[in-house]
Amino acid sequence: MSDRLKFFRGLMSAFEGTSNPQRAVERGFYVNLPNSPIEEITGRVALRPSSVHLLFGGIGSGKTTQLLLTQQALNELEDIKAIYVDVSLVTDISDLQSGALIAIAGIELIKILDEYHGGAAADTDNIRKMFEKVLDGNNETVTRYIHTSPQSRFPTIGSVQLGGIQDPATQGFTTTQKRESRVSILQAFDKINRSIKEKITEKIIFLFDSLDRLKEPKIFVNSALDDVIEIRKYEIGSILVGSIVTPYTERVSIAEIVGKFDFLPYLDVLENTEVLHFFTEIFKARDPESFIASEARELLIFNSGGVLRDLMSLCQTAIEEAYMDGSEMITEQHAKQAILAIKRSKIIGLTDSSIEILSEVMTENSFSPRTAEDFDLLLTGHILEYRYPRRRFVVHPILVPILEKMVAGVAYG
Amino acid sequence: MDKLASVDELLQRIGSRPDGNIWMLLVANIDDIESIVRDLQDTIEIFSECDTGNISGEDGARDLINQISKALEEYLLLWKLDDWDNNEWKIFDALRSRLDKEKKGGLLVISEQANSLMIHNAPNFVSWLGARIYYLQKDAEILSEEECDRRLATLQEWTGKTNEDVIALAENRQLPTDPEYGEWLILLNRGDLLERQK
Repeated sequence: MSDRLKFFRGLMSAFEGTSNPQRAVERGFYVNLPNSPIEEITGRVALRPSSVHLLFGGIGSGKTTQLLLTQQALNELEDIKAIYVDVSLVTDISDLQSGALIAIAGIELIKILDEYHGGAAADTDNIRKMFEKVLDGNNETVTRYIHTSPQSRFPTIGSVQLGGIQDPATQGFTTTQKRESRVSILQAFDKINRSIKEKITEKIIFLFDSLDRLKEPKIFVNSALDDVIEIRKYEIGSILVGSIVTPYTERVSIAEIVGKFDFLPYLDVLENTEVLHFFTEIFKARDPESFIASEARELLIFNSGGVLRDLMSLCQTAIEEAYMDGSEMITEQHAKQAILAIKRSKIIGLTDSSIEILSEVMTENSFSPRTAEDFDLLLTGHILEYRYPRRRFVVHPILVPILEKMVAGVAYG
Repeated sequence: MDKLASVDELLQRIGSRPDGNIWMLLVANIDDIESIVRDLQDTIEIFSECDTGNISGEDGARDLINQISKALEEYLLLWKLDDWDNNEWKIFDALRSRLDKEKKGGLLVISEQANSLMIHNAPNFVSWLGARIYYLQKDAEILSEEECDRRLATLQEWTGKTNEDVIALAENRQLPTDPEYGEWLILLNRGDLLERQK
């Protein structure tokens, strides 16, 4: 491999925004996020470990990174054991079942017991299986067994599952494994929790990630939140990550259940001076020799709209363009090519009514999300919400020039 | 969406990528997808520099994700996602974390219609893709003789090697792994030699 390819791969790798964020932290790339609510959440959890905290934020705003850093900070406290779980890796969150987070918490507690015993404890085996069934969809399963007699015209096969061959000479029976009820899940959890309390003194906190990808915001409240409120009764705390849309559509339920919640906003690159300093530090950490020219950096920062993952993606694409171009530096031209590439993917499929909403947000500088289409535009990052230094909504800056042309086109017929 | 001059350009871009959970998307005419996937299968391992698996999405998003979880290959080529409806894309999006196998990511090859459905229903995955959505025009594959000669001249100037040098290196399995060498062989109609580099 040539040195040039090695160099470009190294630079691109420094701007990787889709791998486990823990790796970026380990490589020394992490820069403290301005106005992050995480410090406050960590403080509140440290004071009241058996409490429930909600963190909402947009796609690519850095929620997972913040959650992992919270786990690290909490585990530095000697009386707390913080456990991070990416829920989507252990159950199908496109069909999240009630009781799933209780089952996940239960399995994690069983793992602690296993560590304590130096292996799997026999008395937890059935409970573990029950929790696994809940995570596997908690479906009712019917199995039909067929005992074949010597007179059977079919060979003896012992038993077959439902749908097996019907033979007059066989006698069969059916077993039905019912769905685990919430009561039985809680009884099992209670048993495990009592065993844990005998073994460890630390307060346990769960950090549940990926719940921003649930199908409906209602599932966040009726299933996920309901489960962690139940877990809280066992003096176990939780931090849940949710979608940017949920606090709008489920505000009343959330306020009734937990009262306060926190929000991780995108970073206002135009009005927040701290943000510019933050982005400068990001480039210092990831491109210390300034291969990305300062004009290119400015363009990339502005066009990211303060969406961290968009910034990483823009930088990687600009670096790739420079590589393909045979250049040794990442110039303004490469940044412009990267911006154009993302712009195209953001425009695809926008309907006339979406364009109308975006134009209104752009020209009137106000937005009150109410309709499904409004929420979609928030979720996909076409409209960005900033909270610091003031709360405001803007159209993603990458789309503004094309929308301006459209608006001017309409105005001048 | 970035327009590509050819599949070779896509391969070069794959070759320039560092290790990591990096996903790319190629949008192509639905009638061309099968032949594109067939062509890519033969050459992609050279550029991704690792074992490449080919996974079909014809049995839905959950099945595809299960296949990905079980796959041993480091780089994955996903296709037959063109019959997916909104719901399948939503399931795929919800289970996005399971695509990160801490290896090299992969490439999806889909039609324009499927791309539009994906963009509407899989915002989390689209955020991973960022600018890595490439559009292949049907006739873009065919370079004119003049374009071909121009590109070969650029490659010769860049490396200081002749076409014969490159063929000899490939025949002796000494071809450098830079993606440009793969492209070079394809321009010389010696794609067969890429197979030998594995």
